[in-house]
Amino acid sequence: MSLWVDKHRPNLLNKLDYHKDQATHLKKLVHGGDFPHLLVYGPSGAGKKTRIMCLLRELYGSGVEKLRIEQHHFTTPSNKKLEISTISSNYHIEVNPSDVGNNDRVVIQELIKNVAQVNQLETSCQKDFKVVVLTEVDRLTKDAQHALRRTMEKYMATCRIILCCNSTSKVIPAIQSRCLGVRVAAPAVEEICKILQNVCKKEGLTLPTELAERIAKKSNRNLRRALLTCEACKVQQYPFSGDQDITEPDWELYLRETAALIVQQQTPKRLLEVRGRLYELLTHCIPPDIIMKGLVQELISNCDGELKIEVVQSAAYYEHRLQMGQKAIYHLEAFVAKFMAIYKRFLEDGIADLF
Amino acid sequence: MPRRRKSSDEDKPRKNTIESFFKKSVPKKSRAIIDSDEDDEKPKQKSIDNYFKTPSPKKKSRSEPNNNSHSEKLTPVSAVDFFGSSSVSRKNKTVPAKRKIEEINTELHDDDDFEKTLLQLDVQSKKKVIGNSLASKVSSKMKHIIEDTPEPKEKKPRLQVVVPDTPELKKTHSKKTPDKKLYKMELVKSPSKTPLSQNLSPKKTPEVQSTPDTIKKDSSKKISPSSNSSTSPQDETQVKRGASYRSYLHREGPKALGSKEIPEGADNCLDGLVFVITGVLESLERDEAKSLIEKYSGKVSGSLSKKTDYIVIGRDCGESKLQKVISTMDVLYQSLYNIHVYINSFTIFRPTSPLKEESKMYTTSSSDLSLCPNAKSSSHGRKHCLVMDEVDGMAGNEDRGGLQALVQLIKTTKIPIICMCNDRNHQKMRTLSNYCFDLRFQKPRLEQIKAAMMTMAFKEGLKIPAPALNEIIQSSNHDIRQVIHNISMWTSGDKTISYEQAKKDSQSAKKDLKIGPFDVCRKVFVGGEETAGMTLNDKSDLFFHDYSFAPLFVHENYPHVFPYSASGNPKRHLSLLARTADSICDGDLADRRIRSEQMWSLLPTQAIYASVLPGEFMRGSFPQMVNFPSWLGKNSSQNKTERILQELRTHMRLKVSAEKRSLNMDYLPYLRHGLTEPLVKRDTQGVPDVIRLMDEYDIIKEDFDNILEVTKWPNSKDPMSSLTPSTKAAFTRSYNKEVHLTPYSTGVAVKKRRGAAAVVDEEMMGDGEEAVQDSEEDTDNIDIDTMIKVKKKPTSKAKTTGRSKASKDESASGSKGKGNGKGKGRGKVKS
Repeated sequence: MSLWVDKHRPNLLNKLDYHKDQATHLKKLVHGGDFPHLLVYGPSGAGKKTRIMCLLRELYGSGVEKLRIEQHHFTTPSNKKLEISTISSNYHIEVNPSDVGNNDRVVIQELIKNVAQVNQLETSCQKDFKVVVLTEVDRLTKDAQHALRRTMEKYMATCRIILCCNSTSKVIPAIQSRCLGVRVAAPAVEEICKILQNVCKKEGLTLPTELAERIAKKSNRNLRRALLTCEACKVQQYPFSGDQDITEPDWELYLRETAALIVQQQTPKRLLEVRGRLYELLTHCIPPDIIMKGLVQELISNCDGELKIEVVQSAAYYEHRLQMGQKAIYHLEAFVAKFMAIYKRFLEDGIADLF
Repeated sequence: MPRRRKSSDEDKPRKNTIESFFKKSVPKKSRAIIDSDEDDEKPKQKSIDNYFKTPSPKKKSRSEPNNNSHSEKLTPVSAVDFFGSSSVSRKNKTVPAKRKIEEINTELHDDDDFEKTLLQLDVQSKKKVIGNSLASKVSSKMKHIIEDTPEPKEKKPRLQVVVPDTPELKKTHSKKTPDKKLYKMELVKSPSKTPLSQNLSPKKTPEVQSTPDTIKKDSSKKISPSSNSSTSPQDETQVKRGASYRSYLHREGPKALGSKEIPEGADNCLDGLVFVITGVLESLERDEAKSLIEKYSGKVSGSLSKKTDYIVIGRDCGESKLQKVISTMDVLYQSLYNIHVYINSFTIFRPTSPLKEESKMYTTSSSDLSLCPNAKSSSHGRKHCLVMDEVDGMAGNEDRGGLQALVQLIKTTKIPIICMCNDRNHQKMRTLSNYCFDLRFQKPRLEQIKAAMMTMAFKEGLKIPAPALNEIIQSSNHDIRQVIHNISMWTSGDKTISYEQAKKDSQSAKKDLKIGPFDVCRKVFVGGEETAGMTLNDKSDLFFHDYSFAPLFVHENYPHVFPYSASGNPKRHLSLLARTADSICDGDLADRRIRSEQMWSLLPTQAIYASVLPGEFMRGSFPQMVNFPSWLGKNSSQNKTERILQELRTHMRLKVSAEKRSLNMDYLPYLRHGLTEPLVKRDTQGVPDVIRLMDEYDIIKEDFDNILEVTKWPNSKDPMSSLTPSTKAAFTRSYNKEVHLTPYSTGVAVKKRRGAAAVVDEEMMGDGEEAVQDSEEDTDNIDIDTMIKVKKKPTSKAKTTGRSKASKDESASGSKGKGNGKGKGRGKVKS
């Protein structure tokens, strides 16, 4: 009884539910013979991995679904031992180099070299190249990306690389230009609704359209989250009703409460309280940009037109520095402090205007 | 200068007398010794012998054993001889010396009435004490030492007796020479004695033989003039010096040249020994003596030094040399009696170093100190102690086990051992502190230092106004030593220090202190006079006390400050907070550049942003304690969560495509629900469902706990808390009953190799070889169990997809690794 989200994952290109044009393009690409490196990007929960697995299956057949977990060991030039786990079939290997942090360059060089230096044995009945899937490429260090650039060219004959990331903004142009970019956009709300209803039908359930729509919106067009939410709703209450409560993850609730605290009161004491909550979120590994986004969304809804501009502007400012800086808490807190100052001034001016 | 000297001269004799009572030592001006002569004739004989004995070896090398008997017979005679002569000289000496004491006493009368009476009392009592105790002790001690020291020739070169420069005496201790030597020595010396005693009295020349008493006599004589300071001491000394020079010019040559036959010694018998010859040797020319010594590989040097092993004292010897000997002997006596032993502790236990000798020496003499439990406990009724300085410097690589040895020593010692260290909180001190009484010395307060300094200044005749002194003390951060040094330096030219001058000087001589991060943080924010005078540089220097820590402290504490400039206006306060936070962010950006790109030149920039600007914005009152940065703790718990997530993702990877962040945000909240809901709702009936879900996602029990931990929020309740203990027990039991096969290895220790072996298995065998594998396993009982489970598992999971089947194949091979050690061994064989 795996979760719906895994149970009903399509495994063939032509079974994909959305971006069907793209799916057919990919299929043609596979059969066209000249398969390039790919850079698959799009928000999480849009189906990048699913699409990649379908593509691999199209390339190699069902053998690619026989997966195993391997541990690889590397030694850095500074003699540090690295260990990284990969998922591989006989035809491909999937690795997330950013698991080893700053030493990802070694992984990229060594691992891909190992894979690419061995030719496929029977080229008659299968493709003459293997595939290396690298995930979270946008988290690679610059070093690793430059190493990757070289490797991509060198082992073109025996290996193709599929890069998977959320955003291309942190992938160096040299790599982008060596890959065929495949953008997997988040599915539209209607598409998610359709998928939810299909899944429910397969499970023998009926899902009211309103509820499906609400779930889709709630999940920010994240299909994975939508399916998980839908299943949670089913556990909570079945048969579905159109206006039933949609359970939210705890961290979202917590984040929203935090935003409410900020709006409620603007004092140094409250700032400290908020800091504690921000720490709580961070220690739960909620990414700081998500925290920032969640805060802004909540705060904005409490602001007037003019104030909105200022708040969003400062949010953008601090979000940018968040990316450049090191300690997320500084920047999140600075944003909160800034908001408090702006908001307090606004409130007092407003009161002054009344008299 | 002259003035000061005079005053100190006036002070000194008085002080010295007092001290000498306490110390029972024989300082330079030891009048006391003279008195001691009367009582001490018997024991002195021994000590005299010592002195004779010492010079003897250089003159004569070892002689044949048959000489021995002769020598033994002869010895007493010669001693008596000598005794007679020396007693004569003594009489001559004592007269002037006694006069001098009286002089001093009168001087004291003039000086201070109270002191006078005190002193008189003391002198009298002292006379007795010393007469009885000191001299006799000296001699008896010498006897002890001679008798105690076991090995005769072993330590020849500069073996120090506690105090570094007492070559002479040490020799006497260590060199336990057989009697024959004594004899020989006398042979050489005895002729010189007779003429000497005749000469002696008129010329006031010092004694030829350096017996302890003569030396003392001499010293007393010598020093007394200086104590006559009231009547122009300088003239006196000059007269004296002139006289001695004259006597040097006029001194007679050797009187009994060739009167003795020079004995033959073994080759190199004086190897490595250093001699100093002073005065006229009666039976030898100086050059002859020198060549004699050099013949036996000894060395003759012109002046006394640490390296000197022996001093050969002739008639009319040089006073400076004699004095040196005396002073070193004084120190020695002092150390023997007073036992203020300073040992740099870590050398004590070093086995091979030359200083070991010292430590041995120390322990041999410690029979007197009764350091060793079996030593005779202080028979002379004195209390001793051992001071170990800088014990916190012990226990490095240099002296491994030093502290343990010290503890051992403390356990068995009969005298108190005082250990001193700077850093009481040092980890190494923990062992020691269990065996010591903890006595902490606080830094003295300003008033305490001030009082002492005022006294000192008064005595030195300095004029230092109180505020100036305050300034000086504060600038040296209450360091007494530095205060004294500074004062003595600043008053070397002028006897007065004005306040302005003191302030200026002390500003430039400010002690560079290290402030802890807490104080730094307080200083950054706190307003008022404490920080009023700080320049920009001072403020940024605060940051540099610990540039990696300071920003954290600033960030942690800035909201606690009530800035003056806000003046209670909350709006203004908030905007200051915002600006501060903004500046801290800038500091963080600089920090990132510094750390990631090694741009250390940005540190001052970071100092401004991360410390100075926040301080400027927020400067005000800081009503509470400075908090320790919580970032450190939070960061490490964030890392822990990250690690857990990474592991979870690795475990669930075959089923879940999400990377760890979306796993955390999307999957885990639902998994938490899915894993606990059946248990909460249906108690034990829910257990199989949960276990099936766990198996589906390859989650093991630890992961289960981890998921619950990671997804725990302050606003969410713990579902496990609502479970009855029986449900929990049932869950654990039924989980443990089954064997759970995972595509990854779960053993921690041998994780790596198992994983690799499993992979190789998989690749090499393929499906067709499964049967072979099974048959092999039949031989291995324990493995059968795990493999049976593997066979069962596919049937229980009939409806799994092809992919999960693949994972099962994998898990089959992986299980061997997990099951037990044998599985692993076999897997390796196959590969």
